[in-house]
Amino acid sequence: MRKITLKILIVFAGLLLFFNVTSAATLTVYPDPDPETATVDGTVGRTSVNQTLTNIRAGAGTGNQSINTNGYAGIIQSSTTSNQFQSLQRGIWLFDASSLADDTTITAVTFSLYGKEAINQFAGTAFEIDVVDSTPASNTNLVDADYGQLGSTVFSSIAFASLAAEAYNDFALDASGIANVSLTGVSKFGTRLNWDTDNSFTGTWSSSKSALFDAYQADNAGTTKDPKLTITYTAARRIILLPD
Amino acid sequence: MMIKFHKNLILIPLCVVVFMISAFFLTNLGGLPNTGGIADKYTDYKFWYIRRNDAGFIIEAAVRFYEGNYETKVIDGVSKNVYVRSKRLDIPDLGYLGDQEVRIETNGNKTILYKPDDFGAIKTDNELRLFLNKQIDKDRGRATIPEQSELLDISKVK
Repeated sequence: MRKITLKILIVFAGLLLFFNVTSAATLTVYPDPDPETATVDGTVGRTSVNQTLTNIRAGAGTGNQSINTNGYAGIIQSSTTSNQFQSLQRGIWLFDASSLADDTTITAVTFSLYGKEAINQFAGTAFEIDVVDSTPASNTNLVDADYGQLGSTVFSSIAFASLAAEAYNDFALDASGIANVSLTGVSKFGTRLNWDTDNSFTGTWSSSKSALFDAYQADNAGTTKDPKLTITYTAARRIILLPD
Repeated sequence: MMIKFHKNLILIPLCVVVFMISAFFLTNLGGLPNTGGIADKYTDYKFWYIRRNDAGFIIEAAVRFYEGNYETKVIDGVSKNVYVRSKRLDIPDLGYLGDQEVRIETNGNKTILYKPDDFGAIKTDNELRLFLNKQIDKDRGRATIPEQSELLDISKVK
C-alpha cells in the first residue's frame, strides 16, 4: 500500500513538472527617498573644470546630490575652449530586491526612469543613455568619490531621439544587467552618456552647450514618477512528500 | 420681546453653520489638507516593492511611510514651496495602521506589508494608491501631502 502511494505521488510530481512547475511573476522595487535608510539614488559629477573628455572622465568627483526631486541621469556641458568640457555628471540608482528567494530564477529585468527633460544642443550624432553597474561607498548616501564608481559594461541603452519627458523610459537589461541584480543584498546601477562610457564624443563640439537627460528621483512627492526596477522571475514550487 | 428671542435662536446657529462651511471650503481651496487649516507635520508613503503573480494581480506591497514638512526652496532660479521629508516613520509611529504584518529589508528596517486581504483583488498601481491614501488618512497627527492624491489620475483607475 505504501509503495502504491509513493508511486502515485511520484507520478503526480512528474505531471507537475510536465505542466510547468514554475510560475512567472514580477517584483517591482523602488529606491527610498531622503532621509535614505535603504537604497540611495542621485547624481555625482565633476563640474567647474575645463578639460578634454578623457581628462574630465578620469578626474575626481567634485559634487553629489541625493535629495532633489530630479537629477541628471547623464549630462555633459562644453566649456569655451575648443573640444573641452566644464561639467560631466552621472546617475546612481540602488534597489533592494532581497525579498526574492535565493533560488529565484530571474528571466527579465527592466530599469525605468521617469524623464523630466532630454536636451541635446550639439549637432552631429546624438548621445545615448547607457545603463551600467555602480559601486558607491555607501548604500544610503553619495559622496563625490562615487563619480569614479560607475562601470563601463553597458546593460542597456536608449537613444536621445527615443528619450521621453514626463513618461517612463524603460531600459530592458541584457544578461549582464540581469546578473547585476542581487537576491541577497542591494542591486546597484548607474547611468551615463554613451560619450562618457565610450570616451568618444560623436557630437559636433560647440561652445557652452549641453547634452542631458534629467529624470525624477525617489525624492519627488507622490509615487507615480519614482525610478523602478521590474524583475520578472520564476520561483520553483517545492513538492513535499509526506510519509503515510 | 418674544419675537426677538426667536430670531436670535435661528440666526446664531445659522451664522455658525455658514462660518463652518466657509472655513471648510477656504481650507480646501488653499490646497491644504482638512486638518483645521493648520498642519505642523505631513506624511506620505513610498513603495519598497510591489509583487504581482503571473496573472498580474498584486499579491504583496511593502510600503515605507515618512514625515515631513513644506519648505521654500529655489529650484531652477524660482522660489518654490516643496515637500521635504524629515524622517522615516518606524513601527511605533504607525500605530494608527493597526496590527499590520511587516517585512524586513536587507538593512534590517521594518516595512509595512499589505496583501489582498487588505486591499482586495487589484492589478494596477493606482488601485493600490487609492487604498494606501485611505491608510495614511487614518493618521490623526499628520496631514497627507496633497501631491499624494493630486498625482493620482482617478480616471485611469479600472
